[in-house]
Amino acid sequence: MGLRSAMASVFGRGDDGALSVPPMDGVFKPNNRLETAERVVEIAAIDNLTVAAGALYGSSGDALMRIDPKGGAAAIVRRFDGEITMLTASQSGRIAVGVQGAGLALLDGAKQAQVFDLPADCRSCITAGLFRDEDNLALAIGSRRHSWSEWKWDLMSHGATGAVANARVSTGAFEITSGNLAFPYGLAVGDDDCLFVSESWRHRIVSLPTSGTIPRPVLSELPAYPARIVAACDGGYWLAFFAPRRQLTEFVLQEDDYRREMMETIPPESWIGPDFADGSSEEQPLQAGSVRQMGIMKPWAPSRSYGLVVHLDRSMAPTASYHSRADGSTHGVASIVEWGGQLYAASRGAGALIRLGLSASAST
Amino acid sequence: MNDIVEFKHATKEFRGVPAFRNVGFSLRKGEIHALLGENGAGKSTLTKVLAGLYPLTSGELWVDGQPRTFTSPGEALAHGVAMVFQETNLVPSMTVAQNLFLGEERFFNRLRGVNIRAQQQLQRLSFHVEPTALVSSLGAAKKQMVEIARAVQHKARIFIFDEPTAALTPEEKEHFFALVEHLKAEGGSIIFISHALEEALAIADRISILRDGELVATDQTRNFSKDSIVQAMVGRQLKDALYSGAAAREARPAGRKVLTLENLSMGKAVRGATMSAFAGQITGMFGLVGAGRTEMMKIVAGVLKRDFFHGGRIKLNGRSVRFGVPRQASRHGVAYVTEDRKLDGFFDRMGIAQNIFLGKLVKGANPLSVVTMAQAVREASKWIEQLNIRAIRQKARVVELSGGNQQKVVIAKSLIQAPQLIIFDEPTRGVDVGAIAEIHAIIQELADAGAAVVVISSYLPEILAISDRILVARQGRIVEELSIEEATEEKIMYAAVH
Repeated sequence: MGLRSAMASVFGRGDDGALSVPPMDGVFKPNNRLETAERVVEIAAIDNLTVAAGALYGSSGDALMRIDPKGGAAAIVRRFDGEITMLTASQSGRIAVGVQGAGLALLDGAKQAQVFDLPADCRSCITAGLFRDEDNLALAIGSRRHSWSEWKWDLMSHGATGAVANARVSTGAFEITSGNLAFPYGLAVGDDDCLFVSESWRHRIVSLPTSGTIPRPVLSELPAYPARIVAACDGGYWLAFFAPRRQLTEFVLQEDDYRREMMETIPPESWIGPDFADGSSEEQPLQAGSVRQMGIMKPWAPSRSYGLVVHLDRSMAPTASYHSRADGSTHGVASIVEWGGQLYAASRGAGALIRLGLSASAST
Repeated sequence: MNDIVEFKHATKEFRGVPAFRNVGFSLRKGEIHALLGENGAGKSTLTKVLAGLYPLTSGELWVDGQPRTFTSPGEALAHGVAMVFQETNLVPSMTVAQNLFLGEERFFNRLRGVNIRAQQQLQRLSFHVEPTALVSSLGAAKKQMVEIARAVQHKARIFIFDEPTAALTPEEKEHFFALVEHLKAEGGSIIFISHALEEALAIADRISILRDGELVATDQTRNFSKDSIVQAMVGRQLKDALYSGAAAREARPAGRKVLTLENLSMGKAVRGATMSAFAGQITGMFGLVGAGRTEMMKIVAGVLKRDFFHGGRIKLNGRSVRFGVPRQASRHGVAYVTEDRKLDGFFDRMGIAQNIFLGKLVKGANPLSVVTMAQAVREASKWIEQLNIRAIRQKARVVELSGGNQQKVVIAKSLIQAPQLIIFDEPTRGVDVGAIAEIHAIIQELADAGAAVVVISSYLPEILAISDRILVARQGRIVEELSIEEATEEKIMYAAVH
């Protein structure tokens, strides 16, 4: 720690020392739209929604599932050797599956999977994928040091080993196109063919131009940890946030000794930091403490989890938001997909697929 | 009849603008009477008439069953009326005893004798204040005790407290309420002005509510609830066409985030304020006196400084900034239009163009360049024309202008800096109706042109009429955000007082 940052930490001044998080106001003003939205089907640890060949797919642990949102039913298509960390589909219906520890598997409609060979440090934390065409698959590698299930370790060790890569399905070629990213968690294509990447630990969306690899921030100072970003039918985007930013977490992230001891002595599920769900444990800080009471937020009782989905316009400006606040349970939404005029969100916290009617406008 | 004070058809006007109209208000002997209302409702002016600071324009003031016209506070005090202001009028460098007997000194004074008399006086009132203590060393509540003791020393029987609890800690408030009860038990009559409704409901015998200068309700406290008080405080008919178009208007969408306050703190005035302001949008800020709105924005503009330790963060276009002086803020495109234009807004002996051009100089001119007066006038003339600043003669000094035109000079002084963020603090205070419409139009045009605009106003219809989104401040924090679609006067006031 340099003298400057040490002084900043003591005085609580400057970018290094001020313990504050961006406000949830304006477009981000909290509402209950996500919390009160329809729960289509309950699936534990549901994540990684994608649409392939006119069907909705998702994952739960190591199971790839085909979900019938009308009937509220889900069927297991296939199980893998590790937790599924990413699902994406091409126009033709080919599904790419990121599997923790195993890397990338490709399914061509049938249940047979073709394993795509990846470097060892890119196999365990594929967080997002995007078929740019039938042959080119863009991949977000959240961390090259930690596996997907160790994401808390990556956050608490200020991980910035994430990368964006391109895999050629036909030849098996694999190329890292941008590195040193702090947990890239979502990918989308911009108007000029650039890639938008949600960089979770830096709470921002960056643009990766087709030529050159220097990321350019297009939306920063976000009040929560961004996860997947997907294209919306109106030309904009949907961005899911899996957990809120809190002053207490920022404090822990500044305090190196405390954090080190916490990581060494306490199990990750009890760490002070963001999470997908409230845990419903009496040992965890009071979730409801974050609810505005008598007009006052209680910073000493911050919630670890939150539900937030935001609509962005073409220029990445937020235009509407859907929330499940600290006193709700539709938390930990990391994956979303717009399909058939509806927005589907996978809430890991609630273990449920959520359907949001897009005809009713969200809070702006 | 035991009315000790009675206003009959009382009206007070300032240059034709009524502060209150045709008010009938009475205070009974041995009663605590709470006087409530929005900022600008006329509460303070009414009590200042009783305290001898202003005369009535028409109507009568009766004290002890006799019509009275007090021409000075001294005369009011001679008739037993004492006003205790939020900011006490004590001399901080003198002791409590010296302050108690200030103005009553004998030819030869014995300090010990003064201290003993002060001790007796304070003990009689059960005030635990050391007579030899310097007033500057006392807390707000003890200062009020000294102020009250001084009033009692002058044989006051009618006490007026204007926002007495605004600066007090919860513990000091309890002490103060006990003190008021004590005064009542001693036969005193008390008028209690407060924005804290729960305090009024807790200690008052009767409550009167003023709205837009008219007395709209007087009744026993038990007949009021918080909700009914809020309703009475804001339930005005929006007769004025100036503010009637609010409901039909569509809010502008938010542009990029220009200003972010994160956990901003400054002493007791601003306590962890968090908010944003967006380009192309008018962010209205409402709050009652002491809510900390002005202080928050003055910190942004470099007029005040946040706490040295853990004072929070201000971001301008996503980058942390800390302005030591307003000039730095101006150079970063932040303009603050003061709420007190006469004190901070302009140089009253200078001309219009000179004042406006000062804004440009603040922003930072080339130190090597020479600007002639003709150039300055030419530059300023554009703004004089654009804002329609009217003066009797071309070279009129600003002091000779009407309130509305003075305000437009202050606004022009800010606009000449081409700010990206402009903060208006009570932009239409003391401005005539015609100029209000013009100033509102200027504010709207600024937002339409893409600037981030923050408007602080204590007048709810104004906030509702011009804002695209409304923030409510209370006790140094932003406690509520309302979109223009969902905002009502009741909701805003409810957030401001609860």
